[in-house]
Amino acid sequence: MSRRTRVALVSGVALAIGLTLITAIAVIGPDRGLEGRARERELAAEFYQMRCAACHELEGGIGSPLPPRVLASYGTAQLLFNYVRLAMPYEAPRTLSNEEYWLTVGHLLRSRGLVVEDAVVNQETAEGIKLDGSAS
Amino acid sequence: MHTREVQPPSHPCSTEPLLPILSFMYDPASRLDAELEVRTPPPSPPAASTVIPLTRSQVSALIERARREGISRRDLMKIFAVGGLGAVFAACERPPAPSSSSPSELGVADVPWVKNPEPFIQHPTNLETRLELLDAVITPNELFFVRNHAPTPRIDATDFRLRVEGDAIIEAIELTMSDLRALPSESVVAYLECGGNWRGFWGSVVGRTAAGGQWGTGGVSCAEWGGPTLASVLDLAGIRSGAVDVDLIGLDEGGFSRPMPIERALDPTTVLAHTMNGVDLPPDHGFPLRGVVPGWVGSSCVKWLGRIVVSSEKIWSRNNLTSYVLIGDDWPADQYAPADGGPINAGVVKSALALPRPAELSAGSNSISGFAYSPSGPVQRVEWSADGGSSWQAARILDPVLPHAWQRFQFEWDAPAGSHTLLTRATDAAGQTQPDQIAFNSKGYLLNIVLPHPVTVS
Repeated sequence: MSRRTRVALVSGVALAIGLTLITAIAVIGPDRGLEGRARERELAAEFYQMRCAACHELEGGIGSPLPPRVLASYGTAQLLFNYVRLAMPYEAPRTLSNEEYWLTVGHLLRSRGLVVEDAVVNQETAEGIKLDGSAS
Repeated sequence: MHTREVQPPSHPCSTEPLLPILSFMYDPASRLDAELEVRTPPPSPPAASTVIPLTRSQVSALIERARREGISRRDLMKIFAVGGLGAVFAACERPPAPSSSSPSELGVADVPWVKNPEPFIQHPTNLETRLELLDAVITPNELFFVRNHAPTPRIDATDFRLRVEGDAIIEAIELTMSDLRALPSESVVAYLECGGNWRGFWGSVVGRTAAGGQWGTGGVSCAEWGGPTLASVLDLAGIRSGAVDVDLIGLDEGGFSRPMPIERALDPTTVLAHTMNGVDLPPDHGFPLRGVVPGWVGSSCVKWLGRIVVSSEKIWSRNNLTSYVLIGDDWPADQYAPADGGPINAGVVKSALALPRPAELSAGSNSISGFAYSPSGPVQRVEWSADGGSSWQAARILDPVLPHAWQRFQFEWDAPAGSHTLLTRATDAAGQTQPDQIAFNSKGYLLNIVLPHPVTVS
C-alpha cells in the first residue's frame, strides 16, 4: 500500500469517525442538554420560591420586586451574581453555595425576560451576559 | 493602574453544597446508589455546561451536613427525588452554615467590609452604628457606619490616579495622591447619612414595609473630613461653559456612581476627602479618596473615588434612575422619566436618641442624650415627650454647634417604673420640623417622622 493510499485511508477513517461523533452530539447531546436545562429551570424556580419569594414577591416584603430595569442596572450577570452572593439571603448573607446563587441569578434573569428561556447562566457564561434587555 | 486585593467571586468554590445533588439528576453517568461516586471536575469544563460537577470536598460536605441532620445519604437522595429541593430544605430545617473557607482560599471577599464589625448592628452589606456608644459630635472611625454596595476594595495609594474627564472638561487630567495632597486642604465636620436610614421603621410607624436594607437609626455618623474642594480639582482640568452634571465614580466593583448638578459640585463645601478625623481614610470609608457632599444623602459621597466625569448633558446612572429615587403615589413616574421616581439629594431633619432599642433604664432621674441633624444647617430646637406627644419639653442642644455637623441634645427625665415611649422632635434653621405623618415611598427613603422609642423603666 502506497503512502498516499495509507494517508487517504487514515483520513477517510478519521472523517467517518468525526462525522459519526458530530451526528451523535447533534442527535443525542442536545436532547440530554435540553432535558437537563429544563430540570434546572424548574429547580431554580422552586429554589427562588423557597428562599427569595417571601421577601421579593409578596406584597409588603422587605425585598424589591426586582423589575428588569433594576436587574439590568448591574450591567452583567456576573456583577449581579456577585451582589446576590454578597448580600443575600437577607437574614443569612453569604451562606448559600455558589451553585445555589447561580440558579437564583439564572431564574431572575429568565423570569424577567433579560435572557432567553433556555439561556445558560453560570460562571462560564455570566461575564458575557450583558443585562441590557436586548436578549428578551 | 489600581491594585485590588479583593477579587470578584468567579470560581465555583462551593461553601455548603446542597445543590451538587442536582448533578445526579442531570448526568446519567452518576448513580444514585448508596455509594456516592466521587467525580473530580474536568480540567477545563465545557462552556455552557449544565452539569454541576461534584468535587470530593463537596460530596464530603453534603454527607456531613446530612449526617448532622440525622439523614442518611440514601434518604437524602430519596427526599430530593420525591420532593425536590424544598423537601430537602424542609428535612434539614435550617439554612446552610457559612463557609469556613478563608477569603484567600475562595479567592473572593467573604465579607463586604474590613473593619471589626463587632460594635455594629450588622446588615448584609452594611454596618449600623449603635448611637448609644457615641458621646461626642465626632464619631470615631471605628464606630462610623458603613454602607457598601460591593466589598471594600483594597487600593494601593502609590498607584492611585484620579482621572477627570468628560465633554465639559477642557483637558482631561490624572492626579496622584501627592498631587491631591498638595492642593489647599479644607476641613469640614459633616454628618453623613444613608438615604435609607430608619427604613426598618416604615412598617411600625406608617403601616407599610419598605424594600431595602432594614436600617434602624444608626445609618448616620459624623466626622471631620479633610481634602481639597471638588471645585479646585475641576479647575485644574478646566470646566467648559455649559457643564451640567458631574458624576463621581468609585473603584469598587460595579463602579458605584452618583451624578450631581454642576452647581453642587462647585459648592465650596463639597470636598474630595483623603483624611477622616485626622488620619488617612480607612479602607471602608473610601481610601484613598472620597467625595463628601454635606447635607446630601450618603450615596452622593462616593467612596474610593477614581473617576470624575463632567458632562454637558444630564447624567443617568442606576443611582438616580432606579435607586435613590422616591417611588410612590406622591411621585408619579411620568413626571420623573426616565427615572423611576422623584430624585433624592438633600437629607431631611431628624432626631434620634442615643439609647438601645428598646432601652432599659432605672427609675428616677436619667440623663438622656441624642443626636439631631438637618441638611439646612444646625438644628435650632429639639423637643421631647414622654406622654405620647400630649406635651413637649425643650431639650438642651450641646456645644459645639457646627454648620454641617449633627448636634447633640440632652434632657433629664424623672422616669417612673413601667413601659414608656419617648418621642423627640427636631426643628431646623429653615423652620422644618419632623412630621407626624409622611407619604410612603416603596424604597423607604428619607423617613423622618417623629419616631417612638420604647423604654422599659425598672
